[in-house]
Amino acid sequence: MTVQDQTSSKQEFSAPLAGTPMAREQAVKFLGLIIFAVLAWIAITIFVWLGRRNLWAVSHITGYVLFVVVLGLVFLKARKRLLVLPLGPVRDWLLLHFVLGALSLPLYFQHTGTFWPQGRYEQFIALFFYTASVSAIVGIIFQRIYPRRLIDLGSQVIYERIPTELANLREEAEALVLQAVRETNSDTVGRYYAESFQWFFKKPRFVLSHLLGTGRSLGWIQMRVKVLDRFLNQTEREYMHKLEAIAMRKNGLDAHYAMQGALKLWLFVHVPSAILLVLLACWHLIVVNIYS
Amino acid sequence: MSDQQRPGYQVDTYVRPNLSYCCGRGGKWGKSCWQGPNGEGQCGGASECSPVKEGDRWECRRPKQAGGACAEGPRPDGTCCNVQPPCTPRRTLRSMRGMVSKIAALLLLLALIIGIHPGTKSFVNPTAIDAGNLSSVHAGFTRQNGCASCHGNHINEAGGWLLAAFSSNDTSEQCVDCHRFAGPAMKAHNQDHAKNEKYAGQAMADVSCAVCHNEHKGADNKLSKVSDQACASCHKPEFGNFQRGHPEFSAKFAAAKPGNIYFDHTSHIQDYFVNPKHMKMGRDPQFAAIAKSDCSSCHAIDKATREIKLKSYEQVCANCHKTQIKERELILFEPERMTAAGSVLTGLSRDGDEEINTKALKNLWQSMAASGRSALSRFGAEDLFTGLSDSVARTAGSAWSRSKDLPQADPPESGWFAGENSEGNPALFYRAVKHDDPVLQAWFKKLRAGLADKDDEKRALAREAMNDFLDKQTGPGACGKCHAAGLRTASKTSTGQEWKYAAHDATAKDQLKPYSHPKHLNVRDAGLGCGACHQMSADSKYGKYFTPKQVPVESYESNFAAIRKETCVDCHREGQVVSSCQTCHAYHTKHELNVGSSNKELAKK
Repeated sequence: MTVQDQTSSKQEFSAPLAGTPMAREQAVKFLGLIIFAVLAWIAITIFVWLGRRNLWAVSHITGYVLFVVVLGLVFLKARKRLLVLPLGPVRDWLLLHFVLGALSLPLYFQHTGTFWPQGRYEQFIALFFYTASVSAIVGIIFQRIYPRRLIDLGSQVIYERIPTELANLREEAEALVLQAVRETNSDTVGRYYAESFQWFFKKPRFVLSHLLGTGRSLGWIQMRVKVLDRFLNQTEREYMHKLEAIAMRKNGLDAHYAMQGALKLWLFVHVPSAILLVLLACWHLIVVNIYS
Repeated sequence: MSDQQRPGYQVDTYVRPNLSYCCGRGGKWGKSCWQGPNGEGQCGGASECSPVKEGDRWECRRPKQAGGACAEGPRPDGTCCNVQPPCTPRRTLRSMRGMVSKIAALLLLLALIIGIHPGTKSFVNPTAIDAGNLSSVHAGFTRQNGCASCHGNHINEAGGWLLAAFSSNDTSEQCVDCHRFAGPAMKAHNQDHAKNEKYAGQAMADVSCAVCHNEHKGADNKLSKVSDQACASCHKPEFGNFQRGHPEFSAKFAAAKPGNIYFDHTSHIQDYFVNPKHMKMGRDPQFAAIAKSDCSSCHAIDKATREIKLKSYEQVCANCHKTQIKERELILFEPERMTAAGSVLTGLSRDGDEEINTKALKNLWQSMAASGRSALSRFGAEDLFTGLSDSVARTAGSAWSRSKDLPQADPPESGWFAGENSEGNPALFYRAVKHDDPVLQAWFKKLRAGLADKDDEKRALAREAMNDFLDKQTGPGACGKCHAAGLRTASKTSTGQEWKYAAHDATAKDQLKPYSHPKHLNVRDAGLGCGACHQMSADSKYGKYFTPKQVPVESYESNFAAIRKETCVDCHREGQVVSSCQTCHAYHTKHELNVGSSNKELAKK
């Protein structure tokens, strides 16, 4: 499917849409898990409260609970790879991932009792924990904003195919400009393309604008067309409007590139830091048991 | 064969996120080829198709989305006619993410876990096990042996080190190498509660040091600081804070036991410093006028440390009591009767057979007449007779052995004398030279030794003599007037502390920390001074305990009313001055440091 023949097929989008039975089911599950997490956190808090009054090794116990929660978080990754096992849909695991992640934050502070530990390797654990947590929050924000905006774009394109689609649009635009030069015997459109639109079609532009949703790119295109308009005759104007249409499609493609990229790039921080966190947590478990 | 019938003609370009590589041309925002790279990351699009031989002809296999079969068709040798330079495929985001994770994990392993530190004695990198800086009190202690000072497993070889994870590694044993306590180190409050009836039947588990003291929390960490919750784990019923729920102080707090010295504040303030009849005792009127209302007349406040110390005997007591000290004589011998001191010295009972006593004394007088002081030295230590000259001893011995009177002479103000004593009786007696007199101290030491003697008879003699010596009115040197309590309770081995002033020790039973006067001076009600906390008790029977009778210590009543919890709560309350358990209470009893032993023992191992 190319960007030209895409339709605004909201039904094909993988995320459940608001109001659908699947969305309602997910909402119920999410609510159930949130309640579970809150109850679990209350239970752990009571346990810690009791533990401190009874000289229990509270930090050991909260540490083991936190370790199990972190392993539960990592299991989402394993679930994606264990396709042959009937472990339920990934979206349910993702919900569990959200809830366990939220539970891990208060658990972490109950375990450490401090924002920044003293030990050097423990500081690495804290660093990776915070990095994974902050990147997760950023990721959740992205996932709440960008999929809706991508649907609103009315087109779909696989992220890895964007370079090819972009090249196709560039070829189309250049072919149109050449045709305009031949047909109008004037190089006005051609020179103007070379001076302004060629930069635009070279690669994705206005990435930050698309992420922030400012619409600066649309203004840029319309301004370029409007500036030239009074110097064009009727035929040239028609070609210019066709070029504007192609630029608009390219603009949609840029939006896809920016938002899909954001939806993927936050994992560059989240996944490695989570893996390092698990490795260091295992090491911490060993060291603690050897030295205490 | 038409295009649509050709195998692979309708195939779509397979570009998916889970592939490891994608076309390198796409990376430069060019048009990707339809084949894409292979699994090893090599370009698969150097030619646009792989022609297939149908019969004797090579047919183009370029799919529809790449433009369909080309017009030129394959070359005669079966190769594609549309060739281009191969690209350098690039990794997909997913593949790059995996690679970043692996590299980061590898770097972490190298940096933290298997990176050998040149200075360490362990095979692990110190950074990889660094749980945080030690508190400042322990930082220097580990300089020699590092982690192994406390963690024995640290110097194990790799296998033993890892296996230690499956065994208990409590460091309490290492703690008590240096930290010594009066009782069992791991028991609550260092006391063996199993012997205490109050806790009979209650399981009292050992408490590891690390339960309350958490190391590796930085140099500024206060190791001794323990939360109130820890105390509440045993002490029930639990209460919120000192203000709300803490039990009331005991009825005699903080003077349930007497000190060493008898000093009746009530009689001094209300009588001796006021009543004119006591002027004849040598009282300084100016001192008395101030002392009855100003505590600092006797209790000095050190300006630098704000400590409160008792002024010396010479400063506050001597004016009235120095004459009493010299007036009360130690009568060693009288010719007609056995004295208390003589009885203890010779071992002859005052109530014993008169004939035996007379005969024994006669022999003693003869010895004294012949050899002077040395006749007495055989009975005991020389310090009992310090200052006694041979001539004085001979004078007494010579006269009494011949049943004659002692020569008439005026007795000296102090020292040994043979002649008429203050009661007009002939005697060999001693008058104290000064307060803190060494001869009288030696005699009290001998009496204490006698009280501990295994021989019942000697013990009885010593007890009788001690009562005489401590008599407030007639005791030698008037020592018993003030020092009776301390001298009665002192042990045989005491080194003289029984003579010294000692404030009541409220800390022992209640696990209280020593009270700090400097921190509390003038904070409650500066106008009231000491009276802000210390109120006189009008109906106290203070003197009752300081009698020769064996009065139980429980019956002691201080001159001062008990300090009530409300007095402390005025300041130590929520939102004001700290009122945690540790503000007043200490967990350990008699903590002592034996620094260096751990390192030495470790070196031996």
